[in-house]
Amino acid sequence: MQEELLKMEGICKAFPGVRALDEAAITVKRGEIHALMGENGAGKSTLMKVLNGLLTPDKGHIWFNGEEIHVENPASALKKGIAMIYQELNPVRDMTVAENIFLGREFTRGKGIFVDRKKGEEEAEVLLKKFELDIRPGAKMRGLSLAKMQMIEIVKAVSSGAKLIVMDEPTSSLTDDEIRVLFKKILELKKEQVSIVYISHRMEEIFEIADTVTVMRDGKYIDTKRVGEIDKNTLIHMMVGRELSNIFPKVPVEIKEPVLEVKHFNSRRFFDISFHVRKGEILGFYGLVGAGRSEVFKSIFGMDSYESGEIIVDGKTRDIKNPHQAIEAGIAMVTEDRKEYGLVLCRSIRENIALPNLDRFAGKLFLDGRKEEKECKDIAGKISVKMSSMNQLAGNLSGGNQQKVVLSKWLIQNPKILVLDEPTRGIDVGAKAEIHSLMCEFAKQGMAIIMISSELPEVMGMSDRIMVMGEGRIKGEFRYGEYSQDEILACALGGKEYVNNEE
Amino acid sequence: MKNKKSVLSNENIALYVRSYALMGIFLLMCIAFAIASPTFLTMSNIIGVFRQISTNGILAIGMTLVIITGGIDLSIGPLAAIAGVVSAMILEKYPDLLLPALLSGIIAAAVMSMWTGLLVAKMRIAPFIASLSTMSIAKGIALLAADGVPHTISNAAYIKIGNGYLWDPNKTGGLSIPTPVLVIFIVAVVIWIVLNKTKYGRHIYAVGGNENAAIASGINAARVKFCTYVLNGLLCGIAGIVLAGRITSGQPTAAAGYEMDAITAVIVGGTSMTGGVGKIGGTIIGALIIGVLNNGLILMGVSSYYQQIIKGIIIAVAVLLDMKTKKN
Amino acid sequence: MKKRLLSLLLCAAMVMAMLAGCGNSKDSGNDSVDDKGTDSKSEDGPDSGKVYKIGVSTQAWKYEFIKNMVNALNKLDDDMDQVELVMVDSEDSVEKQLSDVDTMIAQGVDGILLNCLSFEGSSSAVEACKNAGIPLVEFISYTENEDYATFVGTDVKSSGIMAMDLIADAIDEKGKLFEIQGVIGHTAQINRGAGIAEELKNYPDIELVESQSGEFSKDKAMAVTEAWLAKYPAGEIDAIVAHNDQMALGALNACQAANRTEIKIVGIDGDAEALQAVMDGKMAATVVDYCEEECKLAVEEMVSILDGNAPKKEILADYVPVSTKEEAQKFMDLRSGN
Repeated sequence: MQEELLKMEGICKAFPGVRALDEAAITVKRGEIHALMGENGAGKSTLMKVLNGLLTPDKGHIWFNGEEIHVENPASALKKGIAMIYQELNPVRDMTVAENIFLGREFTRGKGIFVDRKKGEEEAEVLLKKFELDIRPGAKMRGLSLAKMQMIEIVKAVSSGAKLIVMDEPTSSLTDDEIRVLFKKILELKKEQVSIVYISHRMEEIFEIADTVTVMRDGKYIDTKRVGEIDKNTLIHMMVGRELSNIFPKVPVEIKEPVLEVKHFNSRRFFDISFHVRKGEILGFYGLVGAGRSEVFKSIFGMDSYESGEIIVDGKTRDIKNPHQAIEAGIAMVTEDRKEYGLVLCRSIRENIALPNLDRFAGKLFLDGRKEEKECKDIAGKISVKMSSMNQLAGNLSGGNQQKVVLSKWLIQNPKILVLDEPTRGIDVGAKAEIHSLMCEFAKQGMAIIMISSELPEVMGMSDRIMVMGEGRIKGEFRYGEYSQDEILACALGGKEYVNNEE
Repeated sequence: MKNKKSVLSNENIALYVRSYALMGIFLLMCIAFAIASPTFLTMSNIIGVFRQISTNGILAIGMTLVIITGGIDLSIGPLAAIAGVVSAMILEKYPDLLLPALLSGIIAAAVMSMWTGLLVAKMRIAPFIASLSTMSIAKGIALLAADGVPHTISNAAYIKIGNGYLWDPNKTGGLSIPTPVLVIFIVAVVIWIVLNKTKYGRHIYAVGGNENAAIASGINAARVKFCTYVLNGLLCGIAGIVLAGRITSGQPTAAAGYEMDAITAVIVGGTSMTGGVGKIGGTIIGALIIGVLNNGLILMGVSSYYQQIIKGIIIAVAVLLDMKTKKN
Repeated sequence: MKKRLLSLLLCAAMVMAMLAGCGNSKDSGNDSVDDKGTDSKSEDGPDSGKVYKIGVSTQAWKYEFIKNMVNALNKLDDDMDQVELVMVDSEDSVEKQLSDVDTMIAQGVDGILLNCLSFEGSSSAVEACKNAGIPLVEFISYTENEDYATFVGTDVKSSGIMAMDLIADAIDEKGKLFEIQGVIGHTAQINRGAGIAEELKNYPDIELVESQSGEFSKDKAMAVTEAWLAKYPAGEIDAIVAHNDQMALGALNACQAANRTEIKIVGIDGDAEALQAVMDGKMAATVVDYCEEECKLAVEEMVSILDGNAPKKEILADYVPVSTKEEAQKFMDLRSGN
């Protein structure tokens, strides 16, 4: 009989404005491969960070190996037998394989003063042999492939006596062959009674390797099932859960001719992207985190480079190398991270709104301060930015108002195409609704709007058309009302086997 | 970024309070020195203080621009020295070409600063290191050009730039405006207009406040940075001319170590080292605080040992008070 | 760090190359010539046809004073047939000075003249010469390690004494004196200051009113003087003595601007600008460090040691007071001749 190795119960964790975990729970048995699933932002990673000691929970209990534990930091987690392999690997690249494996617990001699390198390399050799890895213990980490680095991380976890290994999206950057090798190792670990918590968006992997799956949604525990008991559709339905509420103020708008066309757009991060958007249309871009949506639009907006492809605005091919050219072409982009790319926090609202529009206010030599003040004030009033004065610092506004300032700065020039990347992330409900109705209003005025969002209800509630992206490619296209949420999520999650509705 | 905590409802008030706080510190210092030394408030001493801060003031104005963009320029001393040396040497050969000599000196400094601009804007080298490189190169070039020795300036008009008055003070009972004060006044007004009334000025603040957001707003951040270093070079050149006029010679080692005084004036004046925030007025007051401090301590006959300690403490206190008022 | 950077930067490299080129132009080609020179020497005995190859390491050439010294040495190199000087600029780096000395020893020079950078830091160069059995003559500045053959130079304190005497002469041994000090803690500031203070005791009618630091800078000395001029009306300042000529010139600028030309100003060093000011009657006097003489004495002492004579251990040259047009003219001519 399998006994319980880990039990987390009633875990709560709140960040300012968000309840990231709300009575979350998970129970993992010894020697079991346990998949943890959920949509973007469901709280999977947060829960694992609590387990690993990176975050301290506000409430809740953790039992491990039969006793209740409190994890202060990753080092103490490792001591207790909990190891974590992150999505972004962070080995010390300039140290050797052996040094990385025994980092923090080096072999020493001379009463613990000197590092015994030879002993370390011998021990590493034994471990590498055991895992059938053809790597020299003295090799530098820098020279290894990502897959090999990941293997080293696993070796490191096992050699430190880990009883539970958490793997966060371990296959995201591996090739098919490498995934085979990884799965083989995972199954071997299982035989040695090591438990694995496996986080992945890839449905087929879950069904191939996991024994049990726990689903989370909105920071809450939903259910735990044996993999054999469920099929893909049931799982997707568990993940989506909610019904579409009618909170979106979508109004029908007459959709006219295409204003932006993108053809066979390629770069290192995305492949063969083709789509178009029409006047008055709201085009939703859905995908899981890392699907490459933001990257596509950063390239269209000239913030990143692209390798090949064509951008056509109003029938004219545009060569866009920097944001300045994009703005001239009539494209405006409200970026995902408004603090990083949207606002100059230490400057005033007026200056922020005026920033991309200074040409409008500039005479031969000097700026027309009165005209600037008036136009900025008008636009800020129109979309009701709540502020004490135009001289208030942008950094002192709430998230929603900051987003409105970013919108204002682009709306002054009345762009043809407005790209909104996660326009409502981190914004309270009221401001969210305001931004949604503003979007509808812009569309009515004939603007073409592209909304990138990871929030499925938002995408479904606001878009006339939805493009679904995954792994840097367009996976499917859906028209308003011609789909279910399960279909869209399945399309975003799945590989090629999920047929999309295109044509 | 600056104010995480909730701030006064009206930002304007907060800003005014801040600039007045700095003024307050300055006036307090003046009152203290006036009580301690009767000479302090005499016309000739006041004029002397303004004259003494003119070089550092002009350098600090340039440094303010650079620091607002989020950078720093350690090469300003040697840049100023180059301007003095070049102009003095041209005058040695062609005593009549005053204006061309001065312009050549200023342009030489600006050209040198292009090196920093290039390294920072195009090669993306950290400004600290880039300007360190320029500092070393400029030092070498100044020594090389001057053959290591000071070059005496005998042109009366040139000397007047550093030592003269707008009108003869003896005719107006000691009241007059020294030429260098006129120079710094013109520089301050022009740079204030550039910062506050032109597109380029806005770009400087935006690039320093958040380079990514500036780029995403269609601003060519690299060009803005390059131009700012070159503009700073021009101002260094002007400061170098004023200094050379004042010490009546073009010295290859003149203004050595002045970057620290300039940076101090800028920081005391309330400009943020992280960029994006700063005012010319603040910098001028910062330069005045340092100038008055130097002058007052000499007048009081304080020994050099204590002077350094007192200066260090007062600078820290000024910045701390300024930060306090900024928070409230 | 700095080195690496420079090597990265083409422009910097160019400047360095130019500097190096200028510095070595005189001695270029000495490597090939000199191997022969040294060889022949060991076979011949001490006779007139022989050439001594002498290595010279100095403080940074960027200073006017050191430049004068280097010029003087170059001239000696030309004038004296029996010596060939190999001169290296330490560029103000003790480390470079030490490795320069090692290199010269390896090159097989007959003797080394050292104008050391650091009292303590340059001491290991003395050890290196001793181990190599090469005679070492230090000039102008000396090291903590006294295992050198001879020191040729001046007693720094005496320059302060001499400056004080010049001041006393200029104001008829009575009046109010102001002192502009060098960078506080600098060796020159300490010794010159001590000399002034010591000699002041011999003039009971001269009162030292204030001392302030001008940090060896013309501009800073001007600011100090301006403050004094504001504080003390005409008649309350009779003389200003500065720890170097640049500061004296700064004080002069301030006095001229304030029309207080009655104030007597004395500096130390003998900079060209100061000599000119003495000639023009603007400065009362300056104390000239007669480095040309010291260099000559140093080279002569080295030749004498190499000829087999016993080292004299210490040769002190005198500073030269310059308070008249004629005296100033003499040094101007001497130095412009280079």
